[in-house]
Amino acid sequence: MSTPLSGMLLSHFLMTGAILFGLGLIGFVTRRNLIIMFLCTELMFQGVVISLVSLSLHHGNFEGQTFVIFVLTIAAAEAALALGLVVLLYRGRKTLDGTAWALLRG
Amino acid sequence: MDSARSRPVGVSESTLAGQQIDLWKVAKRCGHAYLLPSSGTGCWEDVFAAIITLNDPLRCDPRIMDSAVLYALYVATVVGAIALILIMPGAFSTAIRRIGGLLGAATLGGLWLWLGRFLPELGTDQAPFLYYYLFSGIAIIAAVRVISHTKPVYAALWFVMVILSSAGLLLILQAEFMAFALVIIYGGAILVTYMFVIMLAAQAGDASHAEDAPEYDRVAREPVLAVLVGFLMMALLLTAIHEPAPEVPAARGPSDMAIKVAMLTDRPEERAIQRLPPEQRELVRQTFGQRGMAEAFGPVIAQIADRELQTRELEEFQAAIGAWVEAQPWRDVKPRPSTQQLPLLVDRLLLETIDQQVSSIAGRALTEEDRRLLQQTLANQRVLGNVERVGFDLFNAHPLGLELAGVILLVALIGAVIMARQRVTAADEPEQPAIDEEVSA
Repeated sequence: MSTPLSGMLLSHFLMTGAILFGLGLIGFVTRRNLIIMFLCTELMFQGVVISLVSLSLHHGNFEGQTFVIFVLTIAAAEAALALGLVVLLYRGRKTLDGTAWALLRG
Repeated sequence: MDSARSRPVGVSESTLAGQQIDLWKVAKRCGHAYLLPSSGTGCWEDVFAAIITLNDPLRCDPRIMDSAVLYALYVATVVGAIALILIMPGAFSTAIRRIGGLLGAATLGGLWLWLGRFLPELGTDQAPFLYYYLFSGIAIIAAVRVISHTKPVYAALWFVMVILSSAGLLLILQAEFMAFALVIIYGGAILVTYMFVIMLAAQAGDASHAEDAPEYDRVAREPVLAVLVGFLMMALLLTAIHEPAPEVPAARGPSDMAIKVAMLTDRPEERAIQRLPPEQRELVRQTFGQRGMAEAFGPVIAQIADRELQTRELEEFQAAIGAWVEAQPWRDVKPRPSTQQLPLLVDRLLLETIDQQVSSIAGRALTEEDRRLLQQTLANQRVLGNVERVGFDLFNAHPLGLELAGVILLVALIGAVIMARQRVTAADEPEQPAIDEEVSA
């Protein structure tokens, strides 16, 4: 339980978190399928979760892990609402294409 | 250093706190092993003690903190960006996407080898690093597949892979509860929801041919720009994470700061303010006071005394332990133990009390064998697992946040129900098929 997390290993974990977050961001921007766009937000959550937990171990308190619980809560709420929205939008246009809803683009 | 020496006795706490924060940064930069699960944010004294008791001087390893790592990361970022542009769907043919995949895998492998080069020099336990490279590599490859796969079902399955491997990463970080919660909530609940929606909203067509996927799945929107922006941000983050710290004086052996702090803590009036953080005290009380030491020790004591114990004896035993916890004899130990030594110290002091109690119950002096038995029992009793600690932190420090999380979930539930009841008619389709039949079909 008291194995230390050295700075070297910490920066490794933060690196993974950053890469996952960046990949999620790229996916959210490039993909046009609404479902995959929301999957990419979950990918970004994953990056944040890894960063939070590694910092939690590095600093030796459990705040970071506690916050992961809140992240999971938000992710669950987001999945419920976003997927409900996706089904609703799909019923309206018969497509999952995000650009089909770009009415405000001008 | 001089200012520290001439520091008056009643110096303000804020001055001290400033130096402590600086020191904390030093310790963090140098990657010093400082960890006690229960130490909170408020116990800078522990940082003091931990650093002073460390044998080796505050010293960053120049081989590790080299800027070469940074350049390697930049190169990997650029090559990775090119690979990802090739992989993204829509722009290139399947063969070129495969080449992009190989390039990406080679980049990742090269980066891992480059970083792993430093492992033998670290001289520490290498197993976490090896598992880290394994799980992290799987996670990154799976994440690339999530954002590049043309079929949503497969993207979701690859996302499960990301979840599983990051759960592995959390296991390396000793966050067992989080790892399993992640697998259950994400891999189970959330991904199943995604699967349902994909099923409800999927386009008809043979899934075995990529060409049958709808156009919006096959063609990514502005992949080059997005990848450039994304990898620029990634490079910035990696710079911030891996930046060498030239301003840290600790790079040249024991720093002035460490000497200063050592002097500060040698002063008796400083020792007076060093105390156990309240939450740590509470934790010790929880562990020893309320978790039924009598139940845990009862069988062992009966074995040592070689007779049945009366309830009164066990109650007295429990009361003695409780009185010991309330008295907190470990508070007055000088010099102050480091954070890693503290649990051992508490155990040692408590064992003295337990030995005393048990020998009075058994009516004889304890043998070495008895002592070993008691020590074992105490060690079993002492260990708080990850789950218990997270729960402790959650309910002690964030009760309001917990309530709010519940409210958010409730609101999301109500919102989802309201949304599902909406009847939508397509505005730009004159002939409207029966939606309900189609959805249920």
